[in-house]
Amino acid sequence: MIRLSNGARTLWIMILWMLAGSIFAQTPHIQPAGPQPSRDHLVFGFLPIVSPERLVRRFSPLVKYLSTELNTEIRMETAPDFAQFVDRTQNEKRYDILFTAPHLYYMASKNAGYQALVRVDQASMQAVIVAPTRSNIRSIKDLKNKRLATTGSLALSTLLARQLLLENNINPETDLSLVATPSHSASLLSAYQGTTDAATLMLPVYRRVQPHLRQGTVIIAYSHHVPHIPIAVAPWVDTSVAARIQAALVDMRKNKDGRAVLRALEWPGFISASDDAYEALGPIVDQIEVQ
Amino acid sequence: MPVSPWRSLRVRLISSVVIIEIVMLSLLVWSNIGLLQQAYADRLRDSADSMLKQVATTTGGYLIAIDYASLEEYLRNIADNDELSYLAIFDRDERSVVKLGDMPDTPWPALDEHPLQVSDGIFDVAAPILIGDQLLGQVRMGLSLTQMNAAIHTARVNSVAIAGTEITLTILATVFIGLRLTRRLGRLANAAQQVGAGDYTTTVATEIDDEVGKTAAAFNHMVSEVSERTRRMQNLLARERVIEETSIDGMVTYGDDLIILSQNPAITSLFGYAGRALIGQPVTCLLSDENWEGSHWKQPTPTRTELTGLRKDTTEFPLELFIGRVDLDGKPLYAATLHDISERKLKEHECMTLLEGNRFLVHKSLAVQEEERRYLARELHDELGQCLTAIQADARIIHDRSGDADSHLKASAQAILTLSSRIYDVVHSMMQRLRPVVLDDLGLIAAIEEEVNAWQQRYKTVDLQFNVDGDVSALEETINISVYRIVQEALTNISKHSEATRVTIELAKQECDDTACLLLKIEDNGGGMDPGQRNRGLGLLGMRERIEAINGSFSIHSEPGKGLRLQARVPLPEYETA
Repeated sequence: MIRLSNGARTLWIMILWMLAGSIFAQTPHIQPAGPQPSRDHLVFGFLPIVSPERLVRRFSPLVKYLSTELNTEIRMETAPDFAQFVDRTQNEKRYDILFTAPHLYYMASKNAGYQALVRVDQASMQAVIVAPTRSNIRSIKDLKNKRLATTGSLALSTLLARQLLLENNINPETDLSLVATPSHSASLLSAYQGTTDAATLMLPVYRRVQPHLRQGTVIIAYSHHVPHIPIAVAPWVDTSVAARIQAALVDMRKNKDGRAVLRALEWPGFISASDDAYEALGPIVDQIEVQ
Repeated sequence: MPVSPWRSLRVRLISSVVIIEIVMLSLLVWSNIGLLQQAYADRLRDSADSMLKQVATTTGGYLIAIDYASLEEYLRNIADNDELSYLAIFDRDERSVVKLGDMPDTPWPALDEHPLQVSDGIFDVAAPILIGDQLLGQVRMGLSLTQMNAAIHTARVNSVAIAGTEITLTILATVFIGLRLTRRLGRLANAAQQVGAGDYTTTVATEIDDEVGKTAAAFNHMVSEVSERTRRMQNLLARERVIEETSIDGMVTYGDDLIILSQNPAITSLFGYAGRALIGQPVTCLLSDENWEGSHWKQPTPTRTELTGLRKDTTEFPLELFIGRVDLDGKPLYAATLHDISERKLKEHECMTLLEGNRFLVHKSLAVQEEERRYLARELHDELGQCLTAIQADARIIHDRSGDADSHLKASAQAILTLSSRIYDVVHSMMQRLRPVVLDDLGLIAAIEEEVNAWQQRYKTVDLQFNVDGDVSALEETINISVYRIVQEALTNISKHSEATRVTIELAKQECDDTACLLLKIEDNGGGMDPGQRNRGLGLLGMRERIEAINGSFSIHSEPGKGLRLQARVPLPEYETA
């Protein structure tokens, strides 16, 4: 048994503390900030805006980039649908990093303490309501007693459309029928083919659809603008790791690998985000039943 | 001595077929089972690969969405396979998130490369679950080999049963066909033996129109042909036998060793040998000619050759020999025909004697004729010539003395002179034809020249040449008169028939066969004649008789339109050439 003096013991403790600090400085450390899962990797949760396969193919370069920058394993995850994603975000605390819709971030922030680090450096988003050119629907008021195709109750376009209807004194529950479809494209097609009378979808998506679909439909209403998609971190993620994530994302456009990822995503880059920009989404979120 | 059963065609045929059938079917069954096992294993591997690929490419979405309930439901739908023993999906932390079927005991068994390498009855396979290059988990599957092994076992049992049945049927069919076939072949063999023994009435029933039946039909046809040909051959041999046995010529056959192989009856009487005593004797004993050696007996003679036969009693007789040759089985067979020509030779001798006598008579006749002519000519010259000369002398005297006083007498004397002169000319001409005086006085050349000149005087348009080569002045009287008469007759013929424009007469003394001979050649370019023509007149025949009477030879060479050439060759006695 080795006996040490008090001074020597203090010196050994300091040396061990410094070694431990240096080790933790090299490896991202998930700082517990409440109930959190214990694991040696970060989980990046992605809102299932497209199929899981397309989601992986689209965002795996971003995940790989971040994993390389942070020198730690980051795993992609998603959920079968928006509702389960929201549930896993707020109740199961599965995601360390969160890629979600603006209004769902608002919910995650309020209910689970997620903190937005960056958002896509693009103009704010808005939804539109379109109707076939062959129909007599030329304004939002013409939608009474009609069928409006949407993308599910939790979709941002649906919430923005509901807000727009309410602002035009049209009760979405009683004055018309909301028909849920699997995607924005499905909503537009249902209106174009006559299954529904009109459709609501996000404007960037409408601009990218096939020309004959755009030529066969006409925008009859625009929604309010909302901030672009944010990337947030869970409250239990160490602030230093969060800062490194933020820095890596903001600096993507500054290095070759980052620019390659952004080109694949067709995004110009990320800028720092603040919760203030998403506060305006409160009224919209209030409509969500799952809130 | 017992015969080995393996010498039987029947036993060998049946045994060979059965052994080959067993070996081939064993190989076939063994090969088919191997192929079947490989096919089943490949199908199981392909099935496992297909399921693995389907699961690995379609379950990534469930894993990334952590939707294991839906994943299990999905897998239950696609994993409806009787051979699937278990199916497990592992997440990225290698924790099993879905388990279907009977899970193996942990630790997990090692993966298998191929169903045929499986030792525990389960074909264990695994594949990573990926989306792009993102590893999302792993799928492990185990496929039971029970169904494959049961199917292979069933196939093996069925194959062995089929092979056994086929072997049994083959044995039965082979035995049946073999017995039937060899029985019919046996009948064919017996029939062949009967035919070989000379029984050409033997036939074999064809029964079925198969190969053996066709062989039997061909055999019957062959026997019929052989029978017919044998009959024809026997007839031919009989006819030839008749010819041989009734022939007056002796006939023998002999081989390359000159030993007599066969003989005909005539040879017995011809050479005096009894029975078939000549068979086995050398054929050379039949001739006495020393120059006719053994090698001559082996050279077929193109024509009959006259030789001297030697009888058993050593007497000799003339014969004609003809040798023919045929090749039998590559060896020569000679046939000699010996014809007794004793009688013919005797007749020939008699003919020659008569001919000689005839020639002698002709010679004598001509000599007498010439002597008579010469006598007549001399008498005419001596008697009639003297008388005419006296008449002419008296007539001249009368003519001269009568003068002009008696003109009548003078005219008569003149007429006597003229008439006597004409008579003299006629007598002279007759003397010339009977016997030219110059021939006796000056010899043959002068006589021919005189005859030629006289002829030339009569036929001045004909170019007549007379050439003499050698000394022909001291020839025998008979030769001189014969040659002269031939020239005389030839010129007469030319003047009568030839219408020639050129005539050449050549007389030469030459050496002919080591003796001296006189050659007379008379040639013209007139109309010629056909030497074969029978009615050529007595002139040419007389020429030939004259020449042959003095032991000479006479020939005529001519063609119609191409002139005529007469050639006589007369041997000269030794003393005349000296």
